[in-house]
Amino acid sequence: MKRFLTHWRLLGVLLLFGLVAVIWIGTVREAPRIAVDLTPQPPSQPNLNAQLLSPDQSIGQRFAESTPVSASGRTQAEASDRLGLPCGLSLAGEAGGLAMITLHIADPCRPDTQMMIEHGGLRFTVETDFTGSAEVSVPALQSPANIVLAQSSGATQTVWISVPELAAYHRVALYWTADAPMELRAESHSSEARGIERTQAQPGQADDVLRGDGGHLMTFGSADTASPILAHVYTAPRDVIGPPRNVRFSLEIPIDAQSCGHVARGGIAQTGLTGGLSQMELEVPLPACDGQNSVLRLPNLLRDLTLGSG
Amino acid sequence: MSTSLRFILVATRICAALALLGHSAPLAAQDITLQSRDLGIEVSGSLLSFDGEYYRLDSRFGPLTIRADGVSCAGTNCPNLETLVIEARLTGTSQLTRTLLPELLDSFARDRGMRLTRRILDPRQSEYVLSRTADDSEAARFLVTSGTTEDGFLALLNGDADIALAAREPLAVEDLAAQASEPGGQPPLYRRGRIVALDAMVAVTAPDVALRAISPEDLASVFTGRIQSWAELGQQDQPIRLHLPEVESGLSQMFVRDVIAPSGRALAPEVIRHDDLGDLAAAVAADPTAIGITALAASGITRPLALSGSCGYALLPDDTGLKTEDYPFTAPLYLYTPPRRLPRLVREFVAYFESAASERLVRQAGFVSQTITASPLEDQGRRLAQAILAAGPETNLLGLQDLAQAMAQSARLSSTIRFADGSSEFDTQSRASISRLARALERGEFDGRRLVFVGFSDGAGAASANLRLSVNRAEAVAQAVRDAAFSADLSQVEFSTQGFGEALPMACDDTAWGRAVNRRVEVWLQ
Repeated sequence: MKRFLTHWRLLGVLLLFGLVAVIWIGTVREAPRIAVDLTPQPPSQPNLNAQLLSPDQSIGQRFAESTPVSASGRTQAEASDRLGLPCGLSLAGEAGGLAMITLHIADPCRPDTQMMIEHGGLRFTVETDFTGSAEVSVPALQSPANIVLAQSSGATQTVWISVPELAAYHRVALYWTADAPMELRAESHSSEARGIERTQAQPGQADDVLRGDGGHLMTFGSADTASPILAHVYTAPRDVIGPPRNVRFSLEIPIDAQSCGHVARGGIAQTGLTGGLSQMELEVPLPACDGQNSVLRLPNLLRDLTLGSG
Repeated sequence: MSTSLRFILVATRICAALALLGHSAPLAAQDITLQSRDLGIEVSGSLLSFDGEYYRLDSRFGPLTIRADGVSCAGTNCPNLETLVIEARLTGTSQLTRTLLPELLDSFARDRGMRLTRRILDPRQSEYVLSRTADDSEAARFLVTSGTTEDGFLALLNGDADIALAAREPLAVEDLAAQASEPGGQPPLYRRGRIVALDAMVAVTAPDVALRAISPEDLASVFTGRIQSWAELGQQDQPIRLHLPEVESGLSQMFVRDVIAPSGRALAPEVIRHDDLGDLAAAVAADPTAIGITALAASGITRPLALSGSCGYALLPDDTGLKTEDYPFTAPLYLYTPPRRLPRLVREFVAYFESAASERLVRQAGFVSQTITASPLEDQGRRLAQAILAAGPETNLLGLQDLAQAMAQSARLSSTIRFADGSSEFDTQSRASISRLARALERGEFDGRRLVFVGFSDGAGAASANLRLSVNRAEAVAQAVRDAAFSADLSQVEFSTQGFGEALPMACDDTAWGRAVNRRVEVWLQ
């Protein structure tokens, strides 16, 4: 019996240690970030909601409707999570190499929750881990970059981050919703290779954005969530050493039993001269279902890029 | 079917329709009734369109346009002012619909607190929806159909488009069809165009080919099969492969009219055609034996060739060459509007093509903007040296000395005015140049400076007659600029005119295109 009680005491001490460790990690993770307004925005604030949802009300609304909400609202009454950590969303980020932004998201009251990131006409969804945190790479499309994080409750948080390095890169982005997956294709033509080099999408890793001297295509967003929004982003340096090359872009939408008859929805964005950014949303009514699988290819929606000097 | 035949058919169809209309005295359904506020006047008819400002209705008096704020509307077909969505249909050259137009619509929408959604209806047709960011309500829909310049003019004349997007000016047959379809329509079709961007028809090769320039005559020989090997162009002996845009594109039509037709021969049958200029550039870039004809903006990594003549001048298809029209195959892109009022938002979009935001997007899409630029003084020195080398027996030393004196300390502006053979009518790009100069004068950009209008002629005819002609043309252009700058304080700018006849040729006078390049009025800034 005494031995049994000792085991219980030991377990209690371990649990206490665990709790202290979680609180400590949480504090350290917050410390070195760029200062942002950490005050949670109540869902009723119209201006920020407008900023987030207006670029595509339908996608925004559907995101809010379809995502399971892990905590009901975010009022002052709900002040802390199960471990006593203060509730509320904090968002911070810093610019890294290759004009990528590392975004640190923390909301201890919303573990395993889907959130949407929006920046310059690009969107994708991410999910917080069991502590309510997420660390996400976001490709900058504008500098200063305005990044909005939206929760399914409608609450949003905004952060501005300067990304001077963006001036050295071209960027082309596509996002899509789960109804009909899309794909961004980049074809590089150069006279020297006497052939076409196709770039395939890779998972988003800040370390491998650029392969050698050419462009690189990455995937953003987590597909394992309830109603994912995913993105492909192509990055290429403005100054390329080597023979000139022309990069042509196309969108491909697989037509299968899941997507046929639907309207594919998403958006495209492309950087331009002197920090300009072009962006628009896309709606592509897909052919009716006929039992056949095919691929709808849409060329010429994005400007070709000429890399290197002629 | 040939262009002329298609347009004659359209014109005939329209005339027949108009004749029928004249006889159909009993009116169709009287959709709506508009009543003036004081209840004095009432008019009924079927509603043709409503743009938020004006009703257009087909009444028994014919089509009427009536201002909305002076009348009340009765009838089930009266438009709902609250849910009104402006609609516009744009049809024409894929050179404009591909990237420039979507990006302009995006910028235009964002400037007005709206967002843009592109609904892709099929590979050639998209509907662009402008929605208000504040309440997500739809404000306008622009239906854009991508095709050829000819498609654009046809749709405009048939009433299927509100704006035609063109890579060339209307042909005579298209002007005739316009007169038939719009009786009394003013101004005539050819005066309703405005240039939105500058581009050029260029001959291109793979980037690593050594050839840098070709004469239009050699180009005609290559594309008619007279020259079949690169050896005849001073390169390694290999057969030349030929690439052209699709037959009905404005570019192909321009190439046949300006390069092939003067040779009196027909295009070689083995020409490879491309629907997409991007495919053409990719095919030429990958094949060192290829020569293609394309648009400068769509040339990608291929190398555009300069145009040479037997007297050794090479005219480059660069920014300056296009703005000054010194490059003879400059091919501006145009918008053509109907002879009726467009909704205000659509008029604002048409005007947006001349905004500063538009200039950036034009350059971004690979086109050349129409901004006035000044060539550096060194260029004047180089041109003077050319003038001395080209001086013929009829050019005297005094004339050259005068030219040298006038050129000293003066920069040439990109605004250059060109004339048809023996005519004083300006071409569209020249009219746009005059208008831009006038606007710059109104903004006071040349205050305290001296603008010299300098006339030159081609070398055909007697030198003394050419000298007189060049002086007259310079005076005509200076007057046209003064007239257009009606709100400028012209006392702040000194105007002067000079003529130098055939003294400073830009191209050889032995061809029609060379003479056209030489007949010009330049504008120098001191």
